[in-house]
Amino acid sequence: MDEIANELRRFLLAEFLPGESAANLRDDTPLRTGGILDSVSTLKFVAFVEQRFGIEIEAHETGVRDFDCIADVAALVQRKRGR
Amino acid sequence: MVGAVDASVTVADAARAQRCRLEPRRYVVLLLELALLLAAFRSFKLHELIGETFFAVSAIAAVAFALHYWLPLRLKEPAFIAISIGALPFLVGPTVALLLLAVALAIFAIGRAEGSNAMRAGGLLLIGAACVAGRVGALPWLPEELWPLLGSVFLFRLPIWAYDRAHLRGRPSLREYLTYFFMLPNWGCLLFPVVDFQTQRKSFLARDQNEVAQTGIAWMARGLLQLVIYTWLYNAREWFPDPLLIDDPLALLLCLARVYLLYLRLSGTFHFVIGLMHLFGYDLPETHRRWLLSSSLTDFWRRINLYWKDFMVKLVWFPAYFRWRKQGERRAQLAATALVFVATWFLHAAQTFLATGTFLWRATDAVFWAILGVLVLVNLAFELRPGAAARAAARPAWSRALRVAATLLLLMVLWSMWNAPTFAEWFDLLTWWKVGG
Repeated sequence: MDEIANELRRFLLAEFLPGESAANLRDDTPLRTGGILDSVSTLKFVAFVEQRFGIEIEAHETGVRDFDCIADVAALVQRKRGR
Repeated sequence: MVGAVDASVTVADAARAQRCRLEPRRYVVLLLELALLLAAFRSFKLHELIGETFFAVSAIAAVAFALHYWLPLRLKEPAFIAISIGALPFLVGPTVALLLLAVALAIFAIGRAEGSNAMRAGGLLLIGAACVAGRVGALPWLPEELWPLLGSVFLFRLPIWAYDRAHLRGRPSLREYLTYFFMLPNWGCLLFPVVDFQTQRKSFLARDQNEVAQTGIAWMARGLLQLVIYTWLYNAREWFPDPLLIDDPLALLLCLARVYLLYLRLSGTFHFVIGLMHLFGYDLPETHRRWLLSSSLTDFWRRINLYWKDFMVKLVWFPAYFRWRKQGERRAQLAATALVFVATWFLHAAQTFLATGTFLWRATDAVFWAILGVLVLVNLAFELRPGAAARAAARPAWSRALRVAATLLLLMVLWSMWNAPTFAEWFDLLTWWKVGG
């Protein structure tokens, strides 16, 4: 789980928060409701998650429940890989 | 998981219980700040334009907060529901309150009923059809005030709830349902932000209750300031040129700026009502993000009325994109964006129908959404080109400032068209030299 979260953090920092310290992007930092990801960048993030972890995300899984912070996305990835 | 009992809920509740920290000193400061805000609301006479009910709801919320603060976690949401439902008969009348409650319970029963999603959708559509019939006067024995209230509570939030209901495991609980549809601030503000169900659930005591309340009060103060400016703009007609007597470009610019800034009413009330929700522990996100500083039309769409944008993204943009993405990422995004603007136009018109009884078939309205949609599409197409984000980040400050100014001017012109009763009147305004000043 930690490894997944770290990979997600690395991607988010490189792609959407260049120059930001990794310590400032916590596992529970709100990504969508906090304004870090807009709709287009959420899709980029979805594409990365799908490609990197070999899973398919559905539209309803991009909601605030599963896709608003690193911890939730990591849990979603783990759940989908476990199936 | 929302709507079902599992281990993560217990863990989340334990964390929330810890965030109900009682700090008597901070509590007193919060109450003083609230009292000051309400006093400022009265002294600026905002109730004369924004409404007495809006003020009454704010006052009820402040008093309720004084008690709610001390409640343990298990009582906080039931108390919020009790306050919201208890205040309803005094604010909208007992008959309308009872009818609203009856419709809400009928919808809940449909949502919980066994059977397919199609059957539940059919039940909800029947209720929708009854609302349309009522709004056009086919149910004259029901009070007229019921329809705008039903529209405000259910028109946008019900599709969100039904969507989540269809995709979440477990049945929705009555507590979650009532908390979502019976929000006290809604009774004073029928043009209410489209709060997302999942966001509301997740935001509940997401931080320490003192911090959440303080954020809410800060937003209420920001909203109050915007409403003060709005009230001044609305009343200070003599400070601005008469649209019928424009005789130079500066006068036109002032006139356009005033029309655009009247949007502060919506921005201000949204800040205020979401701030009120914070008093009860709902750490909801902001509704507007410095919309006057938009540097492009896509940027504007991402800053103004964020709850509406998120509603469209959740129910239209993402589902359309995911359905079409196999035919090409870029094409799917552009087609989904076009669909969002059609839906936005239609739903705004439907909202007007439930509020006033007349479907908004105004050419200036349809053309406004069409132009905005096309311009956002073009803008998005540019943004999706490889390297566009890096180029945008490398722009010097003067270039960004110029873009903000150009976007502001474009929006002021479009806004004046949107607010004009007819195209002829709008053309007359923009071509003042032909009319003769």
